[in-house]
Amino acid sequence: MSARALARVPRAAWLCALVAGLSAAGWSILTPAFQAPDELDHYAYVELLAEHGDPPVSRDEVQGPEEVAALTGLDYLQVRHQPRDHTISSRAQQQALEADVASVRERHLVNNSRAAGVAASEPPLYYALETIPYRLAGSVLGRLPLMRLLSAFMAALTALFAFLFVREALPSVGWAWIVGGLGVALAPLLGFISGSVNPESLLYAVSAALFYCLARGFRRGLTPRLALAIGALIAVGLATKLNFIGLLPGALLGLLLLGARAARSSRRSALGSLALACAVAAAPVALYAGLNALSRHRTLGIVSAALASARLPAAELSYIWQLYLPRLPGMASDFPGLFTARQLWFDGYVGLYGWFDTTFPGWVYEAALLPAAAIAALCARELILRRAALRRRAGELIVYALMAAGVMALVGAASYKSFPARSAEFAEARYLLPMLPLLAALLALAARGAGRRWGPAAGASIVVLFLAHDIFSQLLVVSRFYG
Amino acid sequence: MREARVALAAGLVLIAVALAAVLLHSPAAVAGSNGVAAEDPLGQILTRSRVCQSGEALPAGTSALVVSLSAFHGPAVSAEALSGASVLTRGRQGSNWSGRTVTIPLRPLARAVRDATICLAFSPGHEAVVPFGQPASPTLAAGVGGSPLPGRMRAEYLKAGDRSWWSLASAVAYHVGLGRAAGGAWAAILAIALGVAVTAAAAGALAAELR
Repeated sequence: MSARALARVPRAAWLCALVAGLSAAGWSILTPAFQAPDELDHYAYVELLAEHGDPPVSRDEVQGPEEVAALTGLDYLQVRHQPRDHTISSRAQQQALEADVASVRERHLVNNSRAAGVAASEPPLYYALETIPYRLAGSVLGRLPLMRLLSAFMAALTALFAFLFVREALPSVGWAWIVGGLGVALAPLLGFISGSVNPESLLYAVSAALFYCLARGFRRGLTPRLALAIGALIAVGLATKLNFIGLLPGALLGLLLLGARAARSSRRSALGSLALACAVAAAPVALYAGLNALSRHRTLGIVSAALASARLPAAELSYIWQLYLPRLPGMASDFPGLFTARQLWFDGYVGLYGWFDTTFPGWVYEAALLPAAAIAALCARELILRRAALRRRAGELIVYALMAAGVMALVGAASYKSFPARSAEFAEARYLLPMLPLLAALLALAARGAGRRWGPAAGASIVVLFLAHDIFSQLLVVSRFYG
Repeated sequence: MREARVALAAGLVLIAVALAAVLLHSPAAVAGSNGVAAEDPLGQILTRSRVCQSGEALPAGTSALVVSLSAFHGPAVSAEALSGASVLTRGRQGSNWSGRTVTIPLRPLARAVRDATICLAFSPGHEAVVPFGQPASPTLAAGVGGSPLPGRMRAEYLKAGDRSWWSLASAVAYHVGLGRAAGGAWAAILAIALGVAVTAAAAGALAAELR
């Protein structure tokens, strides 16, 4: 973004970014070190990049000596998955932790494992960025908070682009934009994940920016500059986390539709824009494939292996369907006793923190259905009232729906690999957060659905609800780890 | 847009009231346990099964049972505490719990009971549940459908605590400060300050935009 473009960003968008950044910073303080999903593996990846200059080559769960000293001193294994066990609680434990970490540093022990657990298969962009705060502090205990702050900054970008997406997608009622922007900024799951070391924080920001650029294209037309931005975002997304692949079909369809529209006025310019976007988007993939070819590895690394085994038998399609939606007649029951949409996704969004071991009392999930149903009803009302406008924008809506479906199908296909030993390994609401801009739009629609007089009051109530959700989620984490 | 400001103010007041209620609430406290360490996996329990363990001492006031069971997406668990054939108390935890323990809220027990039997029944599901505990002789071990497991499961009994979160606040703030490079209560104070700043910025933005 140029300085002029930045100056045109509304103050409300910056405020949304501020709220999201501050909230994620709060989460980064309250979540104990490494008690967020896979944070120890993500830290190990950054450590390898910073210390050796190379990404990991092994998915083994082997951490560096300093990280091991910290995990031991923090009673990591005693606390993880044990919701009745709290973090260290005495001065003596703190002193032992500091002494053990210092001892490893004094002996200059290094991590020779080249392993980073589940993070090993991820692209390096986020981890490369995290080497900057990593180098600013001396020990693992000092580095982790700084690395988490970089993730919190990415939460701010996510909220900023979510606001801008709503502004482009729903331009007619300006007061509702803030409802969507603040709804995303205050989403506790965004704060929790972006308050830890996790490449999903960058994935959310890139996805939100991509949604914004596509919405801008649908509203204002495809320009070479916008095509370049979309291509660059796809490239950054692919270099951030493999989950981004789920957004690709929708994003490419969006580019095609925008190109077709632009071709009505200038075919040459439209083709040029499309070619530019595709070339920029494909650049990192081509570079990666080229490096692998030169080093005689699989052309697309581990993705090649996944593609080789990729098939969608009827059983897998049925599984993916049931992972999100009620079972249809004729389908084998893959989730007996489980209402997936409610229990996996809704409850997972409402409150599942730490290593999936930190939950609210059961009544909270029941109570949360009430405001969720009210928001859904208001949103449905607005969509029905505006159905004529929806029909006119069918192409754009199909693009967003395909982006969402792509992410959901990717998560489903990944979970199916471990089924039935694990019924839904990757059924974690955080994997759906690349669709946060759509949540922002739905919240803005819900506020509008309350009508001209009561809409702003409904919008204020929605934001207060999200604020309360954020506050009490943080208190839940405090009670679980420090109570 | 006066209605929006009223809704915002009312919402903030409600949050403050709820915060006060939470701070005055007492967290559950451990009333006792069966002394078994959750060291070893005791095989796998398929869902739709019923597992029972005798020789349990339930303290007076018990209002929740914590059992060392491991699952990724755990099935719904129904628990009963029995004395002979009579049910002392029962409760249920819904499905989709995760981790190495499951907490099942129970109807509070008026008096202590020695030599009770706890029974857990699991709803249908694909994932097996793994109990954790210590090896024990078949007569003392937990049993599934009449067949003994290789040991006893760890069980912990919770009751309503007598100290409110407010009275525990300084200890909690101290604990928040541990496990980081520069330990101290500053961490808790900073987290509270960030929460206040988030609330102020969100309320300010909302009030300005919904004018």
